[in-house]
Amino acid sequence: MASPDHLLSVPVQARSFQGRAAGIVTRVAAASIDFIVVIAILGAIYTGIAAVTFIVHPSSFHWPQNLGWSVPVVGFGIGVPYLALSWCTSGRSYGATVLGLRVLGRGGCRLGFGRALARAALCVVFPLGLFWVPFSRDNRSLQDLLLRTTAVYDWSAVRAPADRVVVGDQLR
Amino acid sequence: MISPTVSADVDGPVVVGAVAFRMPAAVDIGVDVFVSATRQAKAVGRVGFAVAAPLAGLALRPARLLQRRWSLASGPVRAEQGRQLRLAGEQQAVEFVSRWLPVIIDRALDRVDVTQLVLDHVQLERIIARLDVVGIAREVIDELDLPEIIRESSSSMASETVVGVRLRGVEADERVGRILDRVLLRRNSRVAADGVGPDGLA
Repeated sequence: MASPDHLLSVPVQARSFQGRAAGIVTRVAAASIDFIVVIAILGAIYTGIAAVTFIVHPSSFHWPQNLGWSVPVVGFGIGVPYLALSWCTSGRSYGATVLGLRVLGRGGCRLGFGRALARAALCVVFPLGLFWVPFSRDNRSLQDLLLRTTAVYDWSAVRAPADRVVVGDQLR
Repeated sequence: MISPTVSADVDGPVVVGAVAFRMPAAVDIGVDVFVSATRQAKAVGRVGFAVAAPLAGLALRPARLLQRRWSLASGPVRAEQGRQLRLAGEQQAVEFVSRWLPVIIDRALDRVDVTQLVLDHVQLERIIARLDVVGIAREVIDELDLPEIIRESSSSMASETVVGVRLRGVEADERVGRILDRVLLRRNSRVAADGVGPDGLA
């Protein structure tokens, strides 16, 4: 039987579970990569600040000090737009791209910006909600339950049709 | 009544009854000429027949032979013979054309500037306008199976590593899910990633 066009780029052994809700290990791995990405951006920002400070005062170089609450605030300011824009455009952040995941809304549709922003904020504020996935029959995190979203395996370059997304025991 | 009696000597007059009369000499000459001519004609006829009979036989024999041979040779046999002759002729013609036509065309093209000929006499714009260039390009792309080529060209060691990591992740998801299902005493397990074995292979 010929495979659907969107699965042409997917290895044969992985085509059977495309569109199914992803499990905890894959999702934590993807979230970890996204966390590293945000930390890297944060580090780049503070490195830029230190470099500018050094250019202004070249007598001595020192890293920004007394950061206090600025780190989590800046991290929130970076992480939430990063995740929200990723989910509402392609449905996948960098971590999700590496692990082959895609975040979808109800019926397998792409998330709107508002829902993506809310999901990103919830994920950044309460990342432990991800650990509800193994306890959920549908592999949903707390954020997914609240916002009716899901993260599915999707290794293809293009988004899978909505009717191929599996949540629970039924094809939607 | 007097009974008629005829008697005659060799050189004498002919006696008929009581009347005797002499035959004219012209009659004897005519009889002699007639008899002599008859004998000569008979001799000539014999010679002529002896000469003409074999010739007539030769003249009639081909017709008889043809008739005899035609009766022996059936129609399909003659058709097969004719077909073989025709095929042999065609083969010879093809060999001749195959051998000499390229030489002739090559010699002719050497004497003609074909490019200049086309530029002078062919309106390329009209030909291009009649072609469905987009359709041809689409068919070529379809035949090339570009997605497969892109996938193969991008299947580097890095992408293989990513595939391996993803498959391990899916396998780990399944294991964790099964463990939690046992711990929670669930009868119906969660959505399974069908086709993924212990090694992440179908």
